[in-house]
Amino acid sequence: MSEQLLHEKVQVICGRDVQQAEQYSPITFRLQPDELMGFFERIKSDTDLYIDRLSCITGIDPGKDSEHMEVLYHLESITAGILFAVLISVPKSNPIIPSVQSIWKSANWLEREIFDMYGIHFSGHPDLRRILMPADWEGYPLRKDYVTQNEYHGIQVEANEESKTNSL
Amino acid sequence: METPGTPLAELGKPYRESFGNSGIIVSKIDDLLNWSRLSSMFPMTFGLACCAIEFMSTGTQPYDMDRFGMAPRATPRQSDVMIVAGTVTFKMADRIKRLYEQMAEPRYVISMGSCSNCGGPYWQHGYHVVKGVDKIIPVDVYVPGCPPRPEALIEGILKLHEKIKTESLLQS
Amino acid sequence: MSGLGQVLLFTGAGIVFILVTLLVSRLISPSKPNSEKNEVYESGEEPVGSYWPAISNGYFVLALLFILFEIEVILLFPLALVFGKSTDPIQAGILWVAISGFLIILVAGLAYAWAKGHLDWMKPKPEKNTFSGVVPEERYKAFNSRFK
Repeated sequence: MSEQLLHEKVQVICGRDVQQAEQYSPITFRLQPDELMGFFERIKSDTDLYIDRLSCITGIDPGKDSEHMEVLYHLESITAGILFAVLISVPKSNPIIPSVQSIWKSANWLEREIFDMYGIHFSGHPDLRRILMPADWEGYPLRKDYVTQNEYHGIQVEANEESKTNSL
Repeated sequence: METPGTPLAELGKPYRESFGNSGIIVSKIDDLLNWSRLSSMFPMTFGLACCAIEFMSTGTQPYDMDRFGMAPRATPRQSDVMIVAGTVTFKMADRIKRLYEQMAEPRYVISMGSCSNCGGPYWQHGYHVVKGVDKIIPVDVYVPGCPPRPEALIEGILKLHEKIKTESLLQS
Repeated sequence: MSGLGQVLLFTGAGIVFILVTLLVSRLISPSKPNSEKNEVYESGEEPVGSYWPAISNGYFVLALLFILFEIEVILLFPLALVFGKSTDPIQAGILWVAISGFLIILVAGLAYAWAKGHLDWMKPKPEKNTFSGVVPEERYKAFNSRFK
C-alpha cells in the first residue's frame, strides 16, 4: 500500500484531516490522545489494513525549551506489509495518555517502560510501575532535565559531579 | 629462600612466622587445610553480562577451569568463591549483598571485568550502574579487562590461590 | 575371633569413622551465623510465602502401596520355604489355606488400586487453545507460503 493511500485511509478512519510528522520515519501521523483507542480498534479489523502488531512505543523529550513530550506508536501489518507510526503529544505539566493495553497486550510492558523513563502516566493501565529502574528510584532518567540522585541505599550513585546531568 | 622485601617473600611472611611460633603441627595442618580449600573452590556463577561468556569459555577445553577443581554451583550455600562477572546495576545490588551474606565461610570474591571493578564503560554516564562491586561486598581479587580473556581469569584464580596459601587457623 | 566379634569390630570402626569426620569438621570450620545468612534461599530476593510447598497426594499413595507390598514379599519368603519343606499333609493343607487367604486379601487390594488408577502417575491436562483473532487464517497461510 503506498503512503498516499495509507494517508487517505487514516483520514477516512479518523474522520478529519491528519497531519504527518515529516521528521520521523516510517510515515508518522499526528493524532489526539482521545481518538487513540477508537483508531487502534478500527485499524485492527479494517480489511485493507489488518494491523496486527504493535511493534514498539517510543517516548521523546524534545528538550528543555519544549513544553510537550511525545509518544510514538509503531504499528505493523504482517500480512499486508504495512509499517507506520502514530505520534501523540502531551503537555509536560500533565502527561496523561489512555493506555492501549486492552487492545494490544504487548503495550503492558512497553507503557511501563515509558512511565519508568519519562514519567508519562497511562490511565487505565492495570499495573503501572517501574520496570527497568529499581522500584524506589527517584526521578525519570531519560528526561532532558534529569539530575541523578546522590545516594541509593547508602551507595554513592555517580562517580563525579559532572555525570549527574544528561549533558550530552 | 627469597630475599626479604620481594613480593613472594612478603606473601610468605605470615606463613613463616606461624611456622616459628606455633610449631610444626599447626603449620602442617594449615598447609593441609589451605591446600584442600584452594584445590576445590566451587565458584557461584554470577554472570551478569558479557563477562559471563568469558567465564563460561574458561570452563571449556583450551582453558579448562575444572582442572583447578572449580565446578560451578548455582547456589551460594554450596560455593566458596563468588565470581562477579558483569555489570552491577542498582537493582541487582540488593540481591548481590543478600547472596554474599548467604554464602558460608570461608568465602572469597573475584571481581571479573571492568564493570565490576570500577563501573567500566558506564562510569561516567551510567546512572543505573554501581561504580564497582566493592561498594557493596569486599573483594579479594580484581581481574581487569573488558572482558578479561580466560587466561586472565585463570591468573586471577591463581592469585586467589596464593592468597589462600597465606591463611592460618590461628588468625581469623 | 568369633563371628559376632567381627561384626562388633566393623560396627565400631564405622562409628569411629563417622564421629572423627564430624568432630574434625566441627573443630576447623568457621561458624558465623547471622540473621541474613540463616534466611531461606530465594535467588537473592526476600523470601515470600511458605517454605514448604504443597506436595501432591500421589507420592503418599505410592509410598503406602510400596510399603504394603514390600512387607508382603518379605513375609512370603519364609512361608514359601516352610511350605516347600513340609511333608505332613495336614500341615501342608493348613499352610496352603493360610497362604491363599493372605494372597487373596492382598491381590484384592492391588486390583482395587489398579482399577481406581492409583498406579498411574499424575498426567498433565493440556488446555486447548481457544484464541480467535480478527485476521483470517488464510492471510497468514499465504504470507507463510512465501518463505517455504
